[in-house]
Amino acid sequence: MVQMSFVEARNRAVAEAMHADARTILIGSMSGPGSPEGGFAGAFGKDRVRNPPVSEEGYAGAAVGAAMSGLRPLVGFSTGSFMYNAWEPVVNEAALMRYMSGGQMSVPIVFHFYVGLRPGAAAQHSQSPQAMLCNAPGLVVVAPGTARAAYEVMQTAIASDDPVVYVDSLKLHADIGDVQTGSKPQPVRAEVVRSGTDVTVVAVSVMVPRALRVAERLAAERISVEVVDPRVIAPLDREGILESVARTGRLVATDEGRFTCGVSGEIVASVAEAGYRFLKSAPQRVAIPDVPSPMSPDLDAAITPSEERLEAAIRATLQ
Amino acid sequence: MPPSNERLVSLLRTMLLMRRTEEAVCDLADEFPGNFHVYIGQEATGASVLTTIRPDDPVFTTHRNHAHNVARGMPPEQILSEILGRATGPSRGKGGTFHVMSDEYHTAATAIVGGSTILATGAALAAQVLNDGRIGVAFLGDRTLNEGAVYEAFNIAALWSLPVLYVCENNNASPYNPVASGLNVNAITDIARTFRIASESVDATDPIKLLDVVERCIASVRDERIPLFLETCTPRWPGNAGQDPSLDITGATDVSMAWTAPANDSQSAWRQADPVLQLLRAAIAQGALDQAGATQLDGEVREIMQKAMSTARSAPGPEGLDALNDALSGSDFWPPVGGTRWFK
Repeated sequence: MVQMSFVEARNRAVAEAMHADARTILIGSMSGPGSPEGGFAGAFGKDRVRNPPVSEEGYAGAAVGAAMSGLRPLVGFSTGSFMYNAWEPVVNEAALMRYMSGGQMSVPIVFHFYVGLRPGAAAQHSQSPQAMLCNAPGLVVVAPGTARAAYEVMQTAIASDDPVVYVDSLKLHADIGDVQTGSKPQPVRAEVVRSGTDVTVVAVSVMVPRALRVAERLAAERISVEVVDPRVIAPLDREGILESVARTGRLVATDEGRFTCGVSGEIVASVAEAGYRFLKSAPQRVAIPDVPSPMSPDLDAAITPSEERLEAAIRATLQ
Repeated sequence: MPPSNERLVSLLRTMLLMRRTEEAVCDLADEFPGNFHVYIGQEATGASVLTTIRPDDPVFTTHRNHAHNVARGMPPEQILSEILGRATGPSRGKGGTFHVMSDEYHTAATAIVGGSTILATGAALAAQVLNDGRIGVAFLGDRTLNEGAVYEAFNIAALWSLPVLYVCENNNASPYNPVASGLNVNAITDIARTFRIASESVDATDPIKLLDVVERCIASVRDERIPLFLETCTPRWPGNAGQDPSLDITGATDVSMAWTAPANDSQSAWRQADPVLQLLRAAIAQGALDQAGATQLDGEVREIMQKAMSTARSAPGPEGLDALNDALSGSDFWPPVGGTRWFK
């Protein structure tokens, strides 16, 4: 085990994959604003680390064609809002090529970008397309919430022959965790990151550390919260989530994405449909209300799926 | 240098097979759902390009893909099976007319306008990174240049010097007027030239000239590792006039029209421009084959098509629940798609 930050863990997995396989290339940037991929370009050369023009549809489309022709590209859009310009190659080409070809063709590619609220960024730089992409069959959508998961999920995403959308949050980047490096890519399933007996909180991406802090506080009141990081949200590990709810009998699902047709709603619906008999109280959702993201930190705070809102939802399931 | 007799006859056979496949699709139109697009009149372009490139060059075609697959080597019964939605099609009925494609023949079909252009650009990126000598090949139509993605792809291909051949089949070119293609430019080749991509335009009703230009263009992309844009001005087949392609207007191709004077009727202009008949005329003029040889060659192709139609028609449909397969690779890396308890 090595202690490292979320972003170090994620980039470690990328660097290891690029060392191991010359077919793995990076187009665009996976770093935050103002942090170009200098380290990767230095280590692997400009042939394999491409700084493309501001043409999301063009370079994402080229990456899909490259993935169909022998490479295993990673595409960094940086801010999730920018991938909207690449909707065509992501949802119409990468996602569908295997199915349309009856399984003949593979598109081994990873699309990476940031989602979630970004104080000061306002509506156009704070989009959260993860739920929309869960509705595009043929894609795998992953959203790890811990440093360890950031590493393991990126390993699997790169090793997978499926097109994978890897979303993370800038607010997760500094989080430190224990990471087991050097292991082989493993199957990705929902993971219990804190065991509990009273209520299951299924927390996506940046909601995982928030849920862990709330669980720690509530433990002082002898409320035992189990926190599940689904890690992959499409296809969702419904069985894994249901196993946890079968033990606790209560459910809160939370995602820093929109409320309507969101990831949290899908989790609640799946549990209600197949696990109604386990439920001792009505399941709760904690998500962003169906409004765009405002600029002012005062307004941003009011719509954030905060620890306070999460705690209130947990208490509601216990009444 | 003129093409050898063997090359001419082989090209003619490919073009006849392409033509007869599309005529078979028109004949089968009532036996599969949805609309479709045929390649009749454009054969010279696809045949020249696809019989000149390497078998391992990745090719990206469009909704108008049937005959491209023929020229790539896919047996016609496989193409017809896929169009009819049979389990024996290369995509086992999941692709249909829009997506006849083959991993074996390195040919992919995307029916989103502009898709083939961006994907082939990426195939050229793969060839560059892997340094394996391949080139990417995109087929596109004149109206594909209405899409913004194409301009992004041209820019990337030129910036990174990617070995990609863009084959723009302009089937709206008579009389030549880009505005009719929704493009407010003087010439379609000006667009790629703006990105400093070498561009050529050629009349596709002259198959010998076209073949020469195509061979030079492919050699350029292959040897110089650069992008190249080729516009081929192809004739418009009158059978495409309505909503659905149909043989009602022109009838099936009659090879004897290559040596009999065309009747002075409404179809005479088409018969004069028809690239299959044009190549046949050129082959006979060069002495590559005579009228009897042409009739015999066409007879062989017709026989192949008859068998292909009958094989495709009698093939079984897929099991309905096969619809649930192939969304993902099925690897254990990810949870199963849907989850059986939630699918009713």
